[in-house]
Amino acid sequence: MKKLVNTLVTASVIATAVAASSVITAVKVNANLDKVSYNYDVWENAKMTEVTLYPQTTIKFNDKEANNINQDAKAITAEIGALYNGSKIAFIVKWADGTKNITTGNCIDRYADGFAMQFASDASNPKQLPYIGMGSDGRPVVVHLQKEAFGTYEPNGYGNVAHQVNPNQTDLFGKDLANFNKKVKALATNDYERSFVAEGFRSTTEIKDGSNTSYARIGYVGKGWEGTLSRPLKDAYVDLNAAVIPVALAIWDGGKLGRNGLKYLTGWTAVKLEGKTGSEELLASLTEKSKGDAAKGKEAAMNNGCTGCHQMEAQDAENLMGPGLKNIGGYATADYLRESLVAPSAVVVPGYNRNAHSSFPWYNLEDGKRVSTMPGFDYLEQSDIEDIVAYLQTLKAEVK
Amino acid sequence: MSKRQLAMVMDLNKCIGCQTCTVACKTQWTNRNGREYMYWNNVETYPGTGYPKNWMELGGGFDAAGDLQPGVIPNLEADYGVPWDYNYDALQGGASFEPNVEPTWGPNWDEDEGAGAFPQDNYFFYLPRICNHCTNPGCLSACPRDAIFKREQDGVVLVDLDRCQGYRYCIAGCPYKKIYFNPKISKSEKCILCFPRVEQGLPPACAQQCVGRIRFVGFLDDEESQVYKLVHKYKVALGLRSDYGTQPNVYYVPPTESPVKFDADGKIIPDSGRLPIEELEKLFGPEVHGAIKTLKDEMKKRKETGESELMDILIAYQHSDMFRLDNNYYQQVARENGQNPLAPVDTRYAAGKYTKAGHEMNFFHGGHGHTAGGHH
Amino acid sequence: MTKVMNNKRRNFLKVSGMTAALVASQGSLFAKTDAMSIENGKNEYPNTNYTEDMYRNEFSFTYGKKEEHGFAYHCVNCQGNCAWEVWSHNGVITRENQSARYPIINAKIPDFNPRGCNKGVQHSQTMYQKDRILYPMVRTGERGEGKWKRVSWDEAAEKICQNIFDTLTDPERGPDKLMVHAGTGLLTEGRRGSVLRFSTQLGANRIYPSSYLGDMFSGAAIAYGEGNLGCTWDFMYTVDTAVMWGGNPSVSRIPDAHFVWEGKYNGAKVIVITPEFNATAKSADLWIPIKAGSDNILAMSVIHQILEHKMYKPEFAKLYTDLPFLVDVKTQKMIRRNDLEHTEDKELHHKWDEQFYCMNETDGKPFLMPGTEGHDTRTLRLPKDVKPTLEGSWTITDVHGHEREVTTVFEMLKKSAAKFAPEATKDITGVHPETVTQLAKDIALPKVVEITTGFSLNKYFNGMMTIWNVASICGLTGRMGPYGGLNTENEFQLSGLGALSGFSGKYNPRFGSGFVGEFMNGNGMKTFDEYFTDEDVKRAQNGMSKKEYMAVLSEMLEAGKNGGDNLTSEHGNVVKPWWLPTTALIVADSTFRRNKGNEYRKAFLGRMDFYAYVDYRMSEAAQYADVLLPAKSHYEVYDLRTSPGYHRFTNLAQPVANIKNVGEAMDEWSMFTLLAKKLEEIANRPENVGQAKVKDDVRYARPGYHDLTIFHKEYTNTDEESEGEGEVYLGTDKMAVQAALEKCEQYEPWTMEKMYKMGGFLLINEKAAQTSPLYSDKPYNSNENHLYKFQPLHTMSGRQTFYVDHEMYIRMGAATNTGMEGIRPQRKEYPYVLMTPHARWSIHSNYKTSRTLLRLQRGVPAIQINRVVAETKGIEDGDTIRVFNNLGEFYAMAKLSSSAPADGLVLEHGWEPYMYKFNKGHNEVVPTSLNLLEMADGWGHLKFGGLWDGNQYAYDGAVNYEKAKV
Repeated sequence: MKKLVNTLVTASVIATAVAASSVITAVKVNANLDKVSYNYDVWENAKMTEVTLYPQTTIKFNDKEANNINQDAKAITAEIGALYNGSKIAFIVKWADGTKNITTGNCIDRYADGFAMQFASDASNPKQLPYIGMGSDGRPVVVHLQKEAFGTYEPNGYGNVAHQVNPNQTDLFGKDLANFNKKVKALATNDYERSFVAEGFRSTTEIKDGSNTSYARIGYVGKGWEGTLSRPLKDAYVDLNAAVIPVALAIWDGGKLGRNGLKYLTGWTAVKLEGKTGSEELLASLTEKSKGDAAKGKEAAMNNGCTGCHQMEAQDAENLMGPGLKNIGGYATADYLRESLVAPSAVVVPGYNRNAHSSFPWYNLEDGKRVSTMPGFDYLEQSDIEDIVAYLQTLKAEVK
Repeated sequence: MSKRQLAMVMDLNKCIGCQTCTVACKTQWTNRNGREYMYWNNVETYPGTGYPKNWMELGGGFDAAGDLQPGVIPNLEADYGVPWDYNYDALQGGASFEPNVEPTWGPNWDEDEGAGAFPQDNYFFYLPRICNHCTNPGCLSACPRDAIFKREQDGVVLVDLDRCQGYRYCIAGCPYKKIYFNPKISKSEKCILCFPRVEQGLPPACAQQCVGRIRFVGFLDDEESQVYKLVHKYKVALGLRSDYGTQPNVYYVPPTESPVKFDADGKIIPDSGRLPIEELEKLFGPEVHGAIKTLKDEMKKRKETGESELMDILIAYQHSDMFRLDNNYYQQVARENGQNPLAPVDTRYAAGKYTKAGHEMNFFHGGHGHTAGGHH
Repeated sequence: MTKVMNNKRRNFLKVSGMTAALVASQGSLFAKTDAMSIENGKNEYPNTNYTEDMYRNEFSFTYGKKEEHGFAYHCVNCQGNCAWEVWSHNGVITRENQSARYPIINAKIPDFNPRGCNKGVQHSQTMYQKDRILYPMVRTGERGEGKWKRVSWDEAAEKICQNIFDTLTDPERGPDKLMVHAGTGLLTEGRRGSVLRFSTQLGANRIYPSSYLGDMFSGAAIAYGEGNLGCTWDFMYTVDTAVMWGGNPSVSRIPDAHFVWEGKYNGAKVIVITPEFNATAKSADLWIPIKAGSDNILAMSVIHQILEHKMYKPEFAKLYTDLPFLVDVKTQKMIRRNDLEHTEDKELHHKWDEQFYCMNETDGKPFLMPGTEGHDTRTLRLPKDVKPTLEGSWTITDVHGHEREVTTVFEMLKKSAAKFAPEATKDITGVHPETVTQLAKDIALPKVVEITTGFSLNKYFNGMMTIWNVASICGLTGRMGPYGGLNTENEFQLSGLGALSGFSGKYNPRFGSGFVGEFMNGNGMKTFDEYFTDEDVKRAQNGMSKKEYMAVLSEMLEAGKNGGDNLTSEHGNVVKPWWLPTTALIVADSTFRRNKGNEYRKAFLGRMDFYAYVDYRMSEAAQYADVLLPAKSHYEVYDLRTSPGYHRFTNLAQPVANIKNVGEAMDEWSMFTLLAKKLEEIANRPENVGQAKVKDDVRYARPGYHDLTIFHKEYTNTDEESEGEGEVYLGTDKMAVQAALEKCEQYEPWTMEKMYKMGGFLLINEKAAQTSPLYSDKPYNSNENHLYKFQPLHTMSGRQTFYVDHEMYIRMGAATNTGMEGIRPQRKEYPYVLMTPHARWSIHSNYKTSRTLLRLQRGVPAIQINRVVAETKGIEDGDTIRVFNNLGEFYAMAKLSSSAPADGLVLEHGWEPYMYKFNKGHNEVVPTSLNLLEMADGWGHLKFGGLWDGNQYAYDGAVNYEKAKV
């Protein structure tokens, strides 16, 4: 027992030393931010802040090879800067990545590097922010995704089925075939930019009706990527006119077969819009470090049977029934952890296909509402809850 | 569960490995736009490594407890084989004909090779495979977006190409490796059981165009259908590797026919067969014993008495009778969904549980010549 | 755009009581796109339309407009002949789908739907492949160098026709130095006629395809006076035993194979006799792994068993075979009427030469059998008091008063068969004696037995003997008509089609022997001499030395040179005629791919001053041409094709409406009409008109000349004479189809419109039947008329032939059925036999370059080698191996297989040489030879013609192989 505690303390010290969440400052500028790219001069105004991204391990995906590669994945860091003007807010993200992976037109086993930024539709109640992974039921988020691609096509997205023709099946080995190829090429895009609304993993829905006006770019510079996103401060999906807004950043490493949930993720991170005031409660929530006793929390977690369903540490049984919590400290706020302990059904992570593990459903549907199989631990002493939250906040991988 | 399940039965005794099905599928769906390497339908020689290479060992499917098993996504070069092309233009220039990529694997690499000692006990048979349109699909279960669905009306499993983001977990999750990644559109695609043909009265291309006449198509709840009779009444049609737990809806009449073996002196071993029962059990489960017994009994009965309903079904006197596509039902479904029912392009296969009239059905034919596909 | 409102949100809106006005006022606060909530894709998925509509539209695209569909079949010498519906979009073919509308012949027998195969189903893909010949082209570099100039049709026609004109009018040359020939890439009733007509009109030389392909059933011709006989394949469903002897219907008879397996479900026993384990063997009841090429010996062994165990049918033998005919024991000659009676009348003497005797049991005297070729009574029915004797020997006195010891053919057969007891043959055939007995029983005892002989059997040097012996098995066991029999390849008869290809006898084709022609064209004697040893020849030709063989052969060849002795013979052909043309116009025949040995192409090109080639694809024959003309392929033309006789349907080719032309391709009728026009134009030029009446033998040109000044008029039947006789106008593919439908009585009463409505085909009427009635509700099988109506066969004896007393047959010890070993060298350094069976993936070289099909193989020529042997040689699957012998070498990918025999290599045939490494095709190691038994001629029904012209051999390559070092 003693040894275990020691390990725990060491781990938590390391975590504290490295990962104190920073607040990103959005600098107000007069420049046009409508369509900025990573190599624009305007970024000279930005203040870069380092953020840490943790491997997403809440859900395990069904790719043996990818899971092997990412088994002991470490956290990574990225630098992030923000600018805003009267109508737009723009972000620049820089991270190291030794290998440049992009989606290529003729390859089935390559995955692209890329990043996404997530915004909460409603951040008015800091204690009930959307779930960090793609929001949650009734707490929508907007996600802007940017990858570099090599000619991808949206099937039927243009309603142009004539282009389903077999290119070898034109009578036309000359000009007509060239024209045909030109037409097909015109349908392709090298810019893999997508925007989604989501209320949980499975609900992620691409905005295809033209109502999204964000603009993102990505480029491989030196030994890493630089990506930018500019979007309106206010649109049909979110309103970012506040002193502090929560954003989250996700990064994919295609070289490690990263895609979808196989990614690195920050928690909700505060972006302070320079010159605006208010939102102190939100800021506090986003940066809160629980005052509980992590060592006691660990004991309480064990005593209350948490590991029966959740993988808390690497040596625990793999998560089947409940979400994996190995890195929960890396991307959950203390408020979210408290809420999940006390009222598990408030946010049910619906990212797991229920059919995949039919004998271990982690929620049930009751009157169309997802009810977690986890009982509410609202009967625990407040101090126990706080200790557990403190313990959970220590659960995160080292930085590479 | 979908309301009804369209199913296919393939008779492996009649399969001659000609791959007309494979090519029929290819020209119908996969000769274009990123699908070139895909074989929604393939025929492999068993025993063999199959397609994709060693697919049975690549994981996916469910264990006895119903848990999805981790799977592997095959590699294009090593496991599927790059769809090589040739220097056709150069022939006119007097050149020799060469592939642009050195072929190292393909969908029929093991053709006719088989196993065993020539000539004593070597054997092989053909195993045609399409998507099984499972009741409990591994692909669907592996998709973290639930972008794979079963059609309510007939249980056809489709990838929602609107929502699919090309993550490819489905490929790992399918134990049959019958779902493919289309790199051009960056989404997964798979056999669609030719539902647009079926809705318009035409059987799936692989089935209608099967010249060995091995494929029956119909609804499992239609007691008049051959699939019902073969699967439920006679229990001679079995799922492939149903131990994968996906409840496949493509069924196989296991192979029973093979020549007698020879001993070391080249003498016939009377009443012997070359198909190892343990191999068949591996493919079709313990039920294969009963199925083989029924088949053998009925063949004997046929030989002795000239009678056997089971043989009548498997012989399939009329090609058109192999398919009961229930066209009225599809028309009704379309109406219920507020869509224009599609005019059938063919009325020969229209019979079904909700379509009584059979071949004589008199459908409305539009004045300007009907075309397939309705544009809503 | 699909948009599904999140159920939860909808509920929330309802529950919170928000009014519509409030929602509207908050406007942009609410997303336009809502998150889609999907609980489980197995149930009531909300977003089905996007995907469904895409695939529906895609189907609609490939299906095109129904009224723009076409019909077609794929007539490239597979003979399967299947009706397809061709789909198109905007004039471009998208795909093909079997018509599958053949009517039911009998409700208790499976129907013929859906005919087709893996090759036909992808023609839409190859027809747009870039190896298509798009424009007329003239060679500008060396032959085969690949330098071409695109020219107009007019320029190309000028060049070809000027060469034809020069050849015909050159005093040193003339019509017999011109070859105009359509290969088996074009076997139809419509289009093929265009080339034949052109050839015949010019008196040009052409050769019989089936013999140069090695596809002639010469052994069946001996037995039945007919090579192509057997059944429509639905008959296979009704048999008790189906024997596939050297056949592999699951691979090479794909559209019909189902009848075999359905027949098995119906109670039939299926027996396969092949050296390799193949797709048919895998589901058979009995597979007999015979040693390659020893089939004729196994057949003799079966005959031995049938005789020994008295499983033959003596009453059948007496009536329907020549087995009771009398033979002189000493001379081995049959007793003819001229032996017993004398006449001075030359004609009568000739007739009597074809009249024979049996020994009448009733009175113990020789009886002159009716129904023989020379007999006036055209029935086999015997008077009541005549009972032919099968066994015995007698002494009779001939017309000269000489005593002659005679016996029966049956006794001769018994004597011959005695040498082939199963114990004695087992080492040669590799078949266990008990298996032979079993096989004999399976053939002899059941009610209905059909023995299908595969085309591979003719590909061995003594293959003719195999088919003859198998036919004799059928004869001994009484198999004809409803009782089964030999199934080579049934052929229905079509009459009246001569109206397309011929000129009512005004001009007649100058036929040359196929197998001799190609042998001479390719300097075959040189290859033969290089490859075979004295020992090989002795083994295969009854002890005749190589030197003697070559001398005998040379004499026979000399007798056939330039038409040879046939031109002076009074009673039909006596030799195999051949010519060596110097100008060639060849259509759809990949001749350099097809011919054996390593010499052919060089020899051919060395001989041809001018060589024009017509095809739709760039075969190796096209690569070496002087002028290339682009033909249309099956979906772009009007045409008709009747299966030789696998079924009773004639299929229609009708292009899809509004079809876009591929390059400047032209159908053959339009093309040859254009050439005819040009030739007429050249002939009428002032400098030429004087020599435009080209003299020729009256056998080939009744007026004594070919009149080129009216060439186009004659070709299209617009000349005065044809107009006067009301001949049908010709000139396009469509006109040819209409003419064929009008002229061929077996097509009555069909029209193109009716065929279109039916689904692209017609049913030939009962007049198509040759030797059995074509019942409306029964499968067809040959020789029922012989059996029930006592109609004579077209043999000299009027009966099934067991005895040929041609000098050469006697010399070879082959006057009656015997077993002869192969000519394939048995040398230790080349211990493996190269087998090149018909392909699953191509029809000969047609479709060999299809990317669709090559991706379903190994992409390059691949050869099955026995797994165990390969491993001892250190060869792994996928390795390149070098296959070689003293003739040459080629390279292929190794396919390690449990289905290949230890002593053989199995390579699908049809690969163009240019598909191999270093352009060395597999025929580099395949020798060529002529069998003296097939060279023999001028005997009874064995006279040179479409029936009797020998075979080119393909399976006598003895090779070795090793892992390649390249």
